[in-house]
Amino acid sequence: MISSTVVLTIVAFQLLLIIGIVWWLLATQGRSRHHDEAEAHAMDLLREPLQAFLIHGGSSEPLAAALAKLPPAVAARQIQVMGGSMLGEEQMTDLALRVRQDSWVDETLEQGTSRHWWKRMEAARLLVMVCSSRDQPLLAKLVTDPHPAVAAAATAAVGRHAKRALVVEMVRRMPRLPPTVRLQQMHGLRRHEWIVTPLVVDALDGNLPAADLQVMVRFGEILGTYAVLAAIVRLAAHPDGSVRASVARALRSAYVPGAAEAARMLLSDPDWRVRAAAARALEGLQVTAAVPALSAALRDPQWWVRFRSAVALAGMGERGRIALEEAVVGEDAFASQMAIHVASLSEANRLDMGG
Amino acid sequence: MSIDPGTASALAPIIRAVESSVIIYMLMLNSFYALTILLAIPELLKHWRIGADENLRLLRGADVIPPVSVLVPAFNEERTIVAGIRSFLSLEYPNHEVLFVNDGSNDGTMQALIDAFDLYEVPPSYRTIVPTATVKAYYRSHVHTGLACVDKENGGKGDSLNAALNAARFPYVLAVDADTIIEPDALLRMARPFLLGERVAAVGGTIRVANGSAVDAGRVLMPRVDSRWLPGIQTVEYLRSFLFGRLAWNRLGGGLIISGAFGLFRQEHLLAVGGYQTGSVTEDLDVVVRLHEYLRGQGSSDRVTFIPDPVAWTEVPVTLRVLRRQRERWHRGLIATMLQHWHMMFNPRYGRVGMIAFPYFFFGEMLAPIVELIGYMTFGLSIALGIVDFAYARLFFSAALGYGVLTSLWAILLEQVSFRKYPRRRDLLRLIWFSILEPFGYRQITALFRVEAFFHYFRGSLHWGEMTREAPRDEPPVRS
Repeated sequence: MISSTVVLTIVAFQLLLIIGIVWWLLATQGRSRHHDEAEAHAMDLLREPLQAFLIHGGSSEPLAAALAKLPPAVAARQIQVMGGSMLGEEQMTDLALRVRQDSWVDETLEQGTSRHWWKRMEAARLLVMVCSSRDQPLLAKLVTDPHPAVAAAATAAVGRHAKRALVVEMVRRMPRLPPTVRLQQMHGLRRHEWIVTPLVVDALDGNLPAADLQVMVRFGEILGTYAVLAAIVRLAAHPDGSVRASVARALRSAYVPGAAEAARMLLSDPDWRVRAAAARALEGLQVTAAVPALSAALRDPQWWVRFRSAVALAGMGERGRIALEEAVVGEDAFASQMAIHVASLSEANRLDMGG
Repeated sequence: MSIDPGTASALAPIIRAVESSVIIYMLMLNSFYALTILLAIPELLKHWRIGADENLRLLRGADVIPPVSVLVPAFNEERTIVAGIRSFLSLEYPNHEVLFVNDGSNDGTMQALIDAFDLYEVPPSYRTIVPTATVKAYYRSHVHTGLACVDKENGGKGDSLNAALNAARFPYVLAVDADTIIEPDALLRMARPFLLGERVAAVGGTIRVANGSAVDAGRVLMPRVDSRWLPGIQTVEYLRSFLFGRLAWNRLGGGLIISGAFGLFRQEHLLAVGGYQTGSVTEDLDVVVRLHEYLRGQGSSDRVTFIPDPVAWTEVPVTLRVLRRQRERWHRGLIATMLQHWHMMFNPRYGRVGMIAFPYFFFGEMLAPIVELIGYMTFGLSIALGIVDFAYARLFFSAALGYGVLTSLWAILLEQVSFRKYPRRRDLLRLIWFSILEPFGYRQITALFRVEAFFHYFRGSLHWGEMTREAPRDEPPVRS
């Protein structure tokens, strides 16, 4: 048994802790209020110069001066709010040039080399707002940061500020990134399509492993440039099913020679994921010549292929609708059931399902 | 009652041995709680820092997060269903559909939805992968393209979830209760593991207590702490459970519970484990245990994780009668799941789930009310036998109760330094007050309810019990 002295010590210790935590709780709430008041005060201070800049076309100087009076963390947050939802691109550029020399900006950006990811994230968020040509090394560091939240936060600056070397490096690293960061960077790099397009075409025509190739096909789909889409079409006969599925998906909006033929070919692929995506692509490209093949696909053993084919037929004008009506009264129970289902949908629902 | 001294002295060593065992059990359990408190801190800080609005803005861009089907099973929810479905449809998420399943309601639930959303019947052509009770009709809406409704025969919650799972179009499904109020950005926050590039099989979010809060049109306008003792104490209990109980399991290999009222799952995994168990009274616990089993069996690195900042609000029982039904059912489900998956206990094949989570839920959760009751009984017996050391007992109870208060206060502190859902001082004081109040009566009562579950379990009861809900109090927001 534990002796009474030990229990007494535990009780006393717990009592002290309880008092301490209650005190801490009350103090935390007080501090939070103080913090809210500081934010409200900051907004008051910024209101007039912001209105003058935003509505009356005044100079950004008073706004920059007001920001400099705030604590760095508060100023950084306020400029993010302004840049995110209030200021246009030109206004933001003007304000960024004005505040870039201020010490609070340097102070926050210096956190970009911190060993704590959340501090680097704060620096990345501010960098997106105030980035200039001299910040290229910091941008390169943050956009390739191992922490996805930091890399994702810095990615918004890539479109306007990344130089060629950084763009090339980002394309090289693309297959290794976490999926969401990768997608953000793909979208961010669209503004550099003249640099990116040849790199992606080379990658698509090269001997990349299947997983990397899928990433590049997706990138190509997002870029949507002629050369890249043509390279994607060339991959329609790739031996890996996952790559062909990515190709079929990308064909939806690939208005380049050979895309329609590739989609028709993929509709009879042994992999059902490819067939389902191909049906969708045929609708996207409006290949009316594929209506008989899509009608046949209504009898596919896979539900998703039947569903996608029916939705595709419903979206292909008069010929598609007639084919769907024929399937409704046809002998194949699977095809009939799916045709009835899709034909019964409202136009809005059908569009939503096809999207 | 008089006991002869001979019997008393014969029983004394047995009672002392039982008391010692209870004390050792308590010490071990409390040490484990202390560990969870420590493990939860870095997890909470991580999510709090990353959960800022700026990151959500990044997520809002369509195409970067997976589409989600929101599964809403309901039985006789005529009064609240329209507001509930509206709030699910208006979640801030780039691509989601809402799949409502009417589980054979015998009130006007289905008609209320047909009227409110201009539903029209479509032949139910979707894959029936998991067998369910007969589907009577399948509807889509002229008003909201993202809404589909399945009207089926009554088969229970698990069966309804399975029907929704069959009809779901998207690779991830969010299982919710029809009366759960989900914060508008909660689903977006739940998608954070995808931003971080983590491989996840399931994500759980936080459930908070809505009683006492101002609610309007399916939204909690002003979170408050109910002044009544029963919902007030449960508010503290939920904070403690979600803010460090479940968070710590992220570092211990994943917990066994993702609330059925608010959990995101990968659809293919749920289908692979055969969907929800229809005979279970706690289908949420059962499905997560089977999911762990499946993931380990497949050698998958997909994790079951918990995120603290996506918040859903639920109403908790306000009477002891309803609380008793709820807790008894929860515990009965826990017993059933533990015994059904007994082979996972201390089984290294299941990794940390088999070696840590399962034993904890068995010894620390399932057996806890029995041990607690034995503790009270032996204390009563030693009083009756006149062998109790009152000075020692007083101190010991103070220490035990103090520990309970401490853990509750720590949860409130974590809440205050991170998410601050209760900014009013009055609410903070209420939380402190209920933390102090909880060990005096509430804890013992709920232990009794949970012990009752053992009797019902071994009698083979599958009764769910009804949740009597209060009408949400639609009050205007007040200045804090």
